[in-house]
Amino acid sequence: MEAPCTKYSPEERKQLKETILPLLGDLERVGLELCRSPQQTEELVAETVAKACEKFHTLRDHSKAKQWLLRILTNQFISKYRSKKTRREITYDEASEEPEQFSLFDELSQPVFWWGNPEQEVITKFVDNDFREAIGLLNEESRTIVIMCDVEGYSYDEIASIMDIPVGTVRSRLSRARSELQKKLYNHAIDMGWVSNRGVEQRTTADENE
Amino acid sequence: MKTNREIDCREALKLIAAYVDQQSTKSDSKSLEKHLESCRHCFDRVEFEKMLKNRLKGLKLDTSSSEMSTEVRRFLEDL
Ligand SMILES: [Zn+2]
Repeated sequence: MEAPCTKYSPEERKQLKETILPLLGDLERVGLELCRSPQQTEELVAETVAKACEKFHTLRDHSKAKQWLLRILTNQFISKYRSKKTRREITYDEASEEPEQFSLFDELSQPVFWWGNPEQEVITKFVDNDFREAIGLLNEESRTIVIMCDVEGYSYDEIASIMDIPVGTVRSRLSRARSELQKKLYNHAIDMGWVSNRGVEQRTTADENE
Repeated sequence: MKTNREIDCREALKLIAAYVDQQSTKSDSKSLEKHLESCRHCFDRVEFEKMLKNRLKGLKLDTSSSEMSTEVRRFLEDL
């Protein structure tokens, strides 16, 4: 890792250090949210820092250093782990305006019955790790955008800048990613017996009535 | 002054994601909120999406807890 940095003057190296070091914790956190494995995260962060050192002279606005580093990290993550299947899905994603959406709410809510909100009851059954597992099943692009928006809380504009895509694409990818995520969550809920294929089981209501 | 347009469930559905993400325009928020006052189904949908989003927000890890990249950290410190 020494090599790319020898091209910088001592002053530039100081700047490099002062820019990246305070943000290393952010890179590790987002890296771990994306990879879930400390070992893979460490690799990803090392590659990100190496790339950042190499391209440091291209960073003009130092107030945007965090977004710039996150862009390198997410690009690195996506290109490293992306599969062939993912590539095909991207073309489909950009091509179709409104792909078929899966909605957990539509599957679980029962507008006919006025008592309770079965869809909300199901959500309370999930533990944090169930959500992490479901996010981990998404392809790299979808995982990245869900983590950036829902977990990290970045705005659409910030995500557009980090992922280097138009805001409209942020919206459409987010919508597709959530649809995929909700489908995974639904499958998990079925596996766990929290819902039947025909909708939410009436067990909770029945228990309450006893 | 333009009063907010009445929207139906189909239009409301399109506004919900940005609303839950707190990324919608003021006028979209107002139109949607007006619809939610009279539509329990869309109201429940918004509540559900908010609840789900809130759970995902809770997955954010603690930055200080990760002390992994010791080599990278040392490399940067020695620059
Ligand atoms: Zn409605």
